[in-house]
Amino acid sequence: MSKKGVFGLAIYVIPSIILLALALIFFSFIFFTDFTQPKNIVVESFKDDTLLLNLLRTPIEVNGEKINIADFIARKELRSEDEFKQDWNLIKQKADLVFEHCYPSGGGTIAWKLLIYNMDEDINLPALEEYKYYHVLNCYCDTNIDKIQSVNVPLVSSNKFVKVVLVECLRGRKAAC
Amino acid sequence: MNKKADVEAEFIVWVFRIFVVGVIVVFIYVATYNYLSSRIDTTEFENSLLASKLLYSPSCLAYESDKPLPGIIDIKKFTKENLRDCYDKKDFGYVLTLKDLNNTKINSIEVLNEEQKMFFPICKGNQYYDCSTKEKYVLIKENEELKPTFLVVEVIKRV
Repeated sequence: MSKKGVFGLAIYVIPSIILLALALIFFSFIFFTDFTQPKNIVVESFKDDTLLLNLLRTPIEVNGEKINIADFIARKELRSEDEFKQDWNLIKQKADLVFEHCYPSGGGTIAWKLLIYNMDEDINLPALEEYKYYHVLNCYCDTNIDKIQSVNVPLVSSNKFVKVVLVECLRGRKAAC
Repeated sequence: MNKKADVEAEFIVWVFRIFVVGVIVVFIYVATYNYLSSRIDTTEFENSLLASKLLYSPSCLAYESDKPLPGIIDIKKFTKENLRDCYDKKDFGYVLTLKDLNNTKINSIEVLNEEQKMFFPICKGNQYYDCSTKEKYVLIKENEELKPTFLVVEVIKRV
């Protein structure tokens, strides 16, 4: 074949190959994109703190006294450490009723913790005391935080406050609430 | 070179050009058609909007003493008339159910028209209607007492 013939052939063959490759990419894009499936608008930006607020407002009965969970936490230092931990089980039972409904097995999980700070201290410093309560054990919440709700509860007997933190670990799963 | 060879070469070039334009036109048509005919499902989003309005607005269900308390439901406001005033939208119906912590039904209100009532039980998988369910942990204010409850919000929307 002459030089001119090879050049002439290349002019058509190379663009044709490129064009076919492009057409293949274009149509495979359309083929693999499922346009028939309705797009769902996700509402993760919707901040709703009512779960934690209502949990803290939930009435409980401790030693015959009717109080809510926030009041129980606010009076933490009026009890000994052992008494507080013992009474905390009542709260845990109540909270678990809610969590079991909102985070059924196979769905997301939840953890909550109490962080105690001095009132005039920088909140970014490590907490004076920390209590962690997991609804489901082995929930690696620190690395899989999907949503955080927090409320500060001042302690009645000292110049401290408790930051109550609720952490949802959804890891792609859905919570019922 | 003769005239015939020139015409043949020109013909090949034009076939090639028409093929290129054809591929581009078909691609644009298919992509645009699919994009315009795709459906955006807003039912979950509208359910969240409804649940938030119910819990945060004193004209809906939020209990109000000095100020509205989001998340606490005033049981006196849990009536069909009040809910119709609070949230009424064309082609959109909802059912609110209150359940206690043991999942026992306390009360339920339907804000549905006749057609929605008919389709509500068979909403899932129905091509004319979309439905969505959300649950919220709420407290009911009744006789100065707070009762822990779940509010189940089920919505049905015409597609």
